[in-house]
Amino acid sequence: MAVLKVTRVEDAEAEARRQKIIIIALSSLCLVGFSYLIYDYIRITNRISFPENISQTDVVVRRLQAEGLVDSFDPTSARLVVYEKPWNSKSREERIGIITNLARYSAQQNKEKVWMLSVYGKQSSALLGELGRSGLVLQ
Amino acid sequence: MGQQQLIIIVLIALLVGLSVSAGLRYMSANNQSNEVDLIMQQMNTIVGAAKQYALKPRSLAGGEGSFDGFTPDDILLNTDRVRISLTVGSDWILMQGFGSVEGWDGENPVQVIAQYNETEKRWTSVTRIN
Repeated sequence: MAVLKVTRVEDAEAEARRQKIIIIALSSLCLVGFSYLIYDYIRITNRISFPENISQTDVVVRRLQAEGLVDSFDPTSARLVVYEKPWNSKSREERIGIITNLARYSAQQNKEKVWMLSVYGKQSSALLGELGRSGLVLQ
Repeated sequence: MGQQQLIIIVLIALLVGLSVSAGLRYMSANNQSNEVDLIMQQMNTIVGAAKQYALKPRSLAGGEGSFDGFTPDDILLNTDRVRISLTVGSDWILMQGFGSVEGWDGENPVQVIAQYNETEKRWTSVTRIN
């Protein structure tokens, strides 16, 4: 047997308002959540990372050249030339990662035990970072 | 069911999805953090071995005050979960450690680079790369 529920106009309007508030609150939460997920994804994936397998370093260097960060890299002389602006825009962690990984790669290529690498700016020719006698030094 | 109620159900479903995603992300970050701790622990052990080496005279295959020539045993460099490569100077050691858990990029393992300086008697740089 069908039951007809009678609701007052005021009650129906109050319920509609309540639901609107719930929708606005949930939408805001969804928006904040999705924004954070996107921010987190970009923050994580936009970093330079090197593979553990040192023989794959060539691939990363070619990618960095294509991105306009690296001008040239010579493992024999352990010398890396970079463009200053993109280099300075990288985080300290990324720069340390680049220097250390390329120094290890150069040492392996030259069959040396000690890791060495000097990073120079393309325009200024200034020394921007080094792994040498004093250890890792970042300007 | 009214249109507004349907919207509420859809929004709740989206929020549940977001919460699951955030939970997985939190667990992954926690695993990575544990792996970083493990790498640092191994690096500290290697620094201890390097100090012992530096304390010995050259006649006893030591460094006589220097880390130069220090080569740790393979058992210290490669454990079940951690792999470490290093280079040394007279008073510093630079180590690069890889863990077994995927790092931020989701492809390569967690990577930490740390430099210990004996003159300053401290880690001058500890950097998580991935």
